[in-house]
Amino acid sequence: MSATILAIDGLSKNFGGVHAVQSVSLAIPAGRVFSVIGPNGAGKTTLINVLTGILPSSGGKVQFEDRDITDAPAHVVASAGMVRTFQNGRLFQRLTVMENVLVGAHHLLPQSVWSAIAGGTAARRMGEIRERAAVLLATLGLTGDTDRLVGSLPYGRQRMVEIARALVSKPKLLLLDEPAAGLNSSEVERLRGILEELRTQGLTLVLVEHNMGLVMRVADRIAVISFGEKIAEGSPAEVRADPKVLEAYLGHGYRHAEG
Amino acid sequence: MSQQFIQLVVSGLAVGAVYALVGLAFIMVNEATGVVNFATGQMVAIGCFLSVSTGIQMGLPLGPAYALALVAMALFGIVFYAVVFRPLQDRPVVTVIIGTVMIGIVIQNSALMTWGSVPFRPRSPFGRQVVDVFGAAISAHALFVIAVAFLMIGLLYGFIYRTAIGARMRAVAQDRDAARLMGISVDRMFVLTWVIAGLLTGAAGILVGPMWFADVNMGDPIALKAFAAIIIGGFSSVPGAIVGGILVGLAEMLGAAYISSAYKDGLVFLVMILFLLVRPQGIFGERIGQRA
Amino acid sequence: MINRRLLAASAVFLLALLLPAFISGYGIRILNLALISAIAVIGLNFAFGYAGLITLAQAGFVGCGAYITAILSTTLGLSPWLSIPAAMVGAGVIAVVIGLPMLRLKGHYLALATLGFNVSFVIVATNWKSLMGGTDGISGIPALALPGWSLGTDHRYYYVVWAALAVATWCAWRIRNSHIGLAMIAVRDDEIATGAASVGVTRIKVQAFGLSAVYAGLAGALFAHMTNFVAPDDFALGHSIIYLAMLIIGGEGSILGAIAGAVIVTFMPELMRDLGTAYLIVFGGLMLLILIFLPKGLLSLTGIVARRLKALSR
Repeated sequence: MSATILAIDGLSKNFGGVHAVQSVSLAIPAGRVFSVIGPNGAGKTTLINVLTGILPSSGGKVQFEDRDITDAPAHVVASAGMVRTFQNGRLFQRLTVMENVLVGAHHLLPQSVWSAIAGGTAARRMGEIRERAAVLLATLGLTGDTDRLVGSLPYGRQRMVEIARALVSKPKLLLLDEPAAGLNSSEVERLRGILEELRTQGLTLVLVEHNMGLVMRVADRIAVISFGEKIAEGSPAEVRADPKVLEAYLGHGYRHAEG
Repeated sequence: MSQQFIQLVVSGLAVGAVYALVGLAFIMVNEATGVVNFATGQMVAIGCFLSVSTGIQMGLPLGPAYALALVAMALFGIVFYAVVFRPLQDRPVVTVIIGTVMIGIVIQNSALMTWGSVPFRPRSPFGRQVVDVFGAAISAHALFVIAVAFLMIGLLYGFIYRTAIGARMRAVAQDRDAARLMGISVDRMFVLTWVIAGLLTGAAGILVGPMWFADVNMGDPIALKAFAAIIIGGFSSVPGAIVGGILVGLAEMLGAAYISSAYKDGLVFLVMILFLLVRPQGIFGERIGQRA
Repeated sequence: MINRRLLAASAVFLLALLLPAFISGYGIRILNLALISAIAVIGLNFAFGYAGLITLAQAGFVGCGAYITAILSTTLGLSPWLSIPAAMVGAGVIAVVIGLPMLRLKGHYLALATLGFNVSFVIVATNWKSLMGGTDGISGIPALALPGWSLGTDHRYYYVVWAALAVATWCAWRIRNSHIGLAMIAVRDDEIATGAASVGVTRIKVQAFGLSAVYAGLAGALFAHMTNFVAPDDFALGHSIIYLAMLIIGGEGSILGAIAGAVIVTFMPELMRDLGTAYLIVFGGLMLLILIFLPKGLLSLTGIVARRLKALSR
């Protein structure tokens, strides 16, 4: 049983009268793949948005590596080592593939304008980061595309650029919001390989996904969210057999048909 | 003292009514198209000059002169749409705004060539008549301005909220694509919007001319204060434009008399900046909410 | 990172050193004005071209720079070589101070707040007679000088302005290729993703805004020591709009575009003066046509021409 790297305690988010996330508690173990699944509109993306500082919470606490990051701004969360990718991808259209990746390393460089002009430390560190980025891009199959504008890449490879951007800062936890959406089966297979490789390297992964095949094969532990609440949690086998989960996905009638 | 106060209040209301008309012209265009029209000031000036041309140069009596000037401004709105807005329709907003700036330069210098640079004071239909209001001598023209402005605003309100065409305009303002899918001709609504903007700015120019004086640069300070008025009142709000315009007009007149004549404009813009920082939606605007 | 664009730009810069031999009198004065404006527009490019902040305050910051150097070099008798950097820093500090509250606003709200600043600056400059001279402005601003060698003529001043523009361009290019420049561009493209990628969005916006003001301050200071006189009208709102127009017409998001736009928009009315009173009408119309037919600005012409030549040579 590994240590908890991300402790989510009673986290809630309301939009006016809509309770998108209702008192969700999760203990994400370090170095494992933790998957969050649930029917459409269950609040999974909202949960990630609140965790990563994009939306303010309406209650509860979030601790990352013993540091309280509840409602911390997005860039603070990322600098602390918890990074994310976006559903449908959010890339910088006016920048090249390499430049997109480099933005992810912003907090590793001196934050003053002067350092950008004067060079020295900043330039040297930037060189190191560029090399790291180049290696990452090679691993993800993007070597030839380094200087192309991201918009010119096919969708599957754009998603890879986003992953590279998230990884360039050597984070400790990577949150992926539906990374398999829009990918064909060979691309999903490639993604699976990448996720397993990342886990081998000690990275903690939180995977929000709809692609059950992928989830069942990579996840060490799964939590199920429905209507903003956690309704089940456990190993893939446990979750698969849980009647509450089946009911959430397939509707009330299924339960009665079974029993 | 109180006589002066009443005079100031009435002047403030009159100039505020003009700001409200111009503010509404901004809002109509911005709501429908997302563009802030930086040539609005020049359109106000043109409205004033046209009324002078029709009244003095063509020798028409003031009623038909004004009407003809308004018709010309309506046509002007159509030309504006065709020459500036239509070609730049799908561009980023800032590009369109610069386009309006450029056409403003064209308009201003065309006016300069046509009417010359000497400022003059257009005649009011009421000449220099005064009316007794609570013992104070009030310019009849100021009352005329207030009456006409509010009449126009009332008509505009009725048109937008009580007619079928107005409903279509509101639909386009809310969701262009949905409106198109429902069979509304978005282009026609845009043309209508610019026609209305032309009428509003034209009326403002016609009304304000006799109150101060007319020259090619008259429109810029008016447009700026109308900006301030709609920020204070609420950027997309019709009642906001009216209330904002009145507040700015009153602040200007009373501020000039009782606080400082030099810094009166500064006062208005200071209030505007404060609103932007503290309550950007203005008095009547909707809260700028958080993104989901 | 040597590339063709860099080489071409360097060549143009070096050739430009020869210009004073071919242009005289009034032409040099206009050229100096164009290059000074170019510095201001390169500054604007950080705030608007990269970071997407719609700012109508640039002329106000140019004015801050101009007045700071004017006051320091006349009233306090400071050497312009000191008062010019002071003007740059001063303008930058003012921008950071007003930027911190203002940059929370977005889109047209930010535009109007910056408009309010510019308008307020002119009002203050017009009315604060004791410090800023009111409508009479400040005159008798000393010219720049090296020991024993005045730089007061337009011809000599050209080299000062050229050097300032060259340094400004080089710094801008360094910034563009640094993580700061990338972050500024990212903020405009997708603010949410930028924050999620560890960039402090507010900080970057303030940096872009402050940088634009430092450049504007330099432009204003150079202007003051060239004309030896500053007055409020030189920094009115209309000039802010013209800077924006220069950037968009030249090619927003591009340092060379900023320079090209400044030069074209400054020179074109002058070249058309022969048309008499109508010249501004033609100018406005021409600018409108450029906006309509060259969406990426004038600099995109080089790309279009290059592609056509490539196609022809096949």
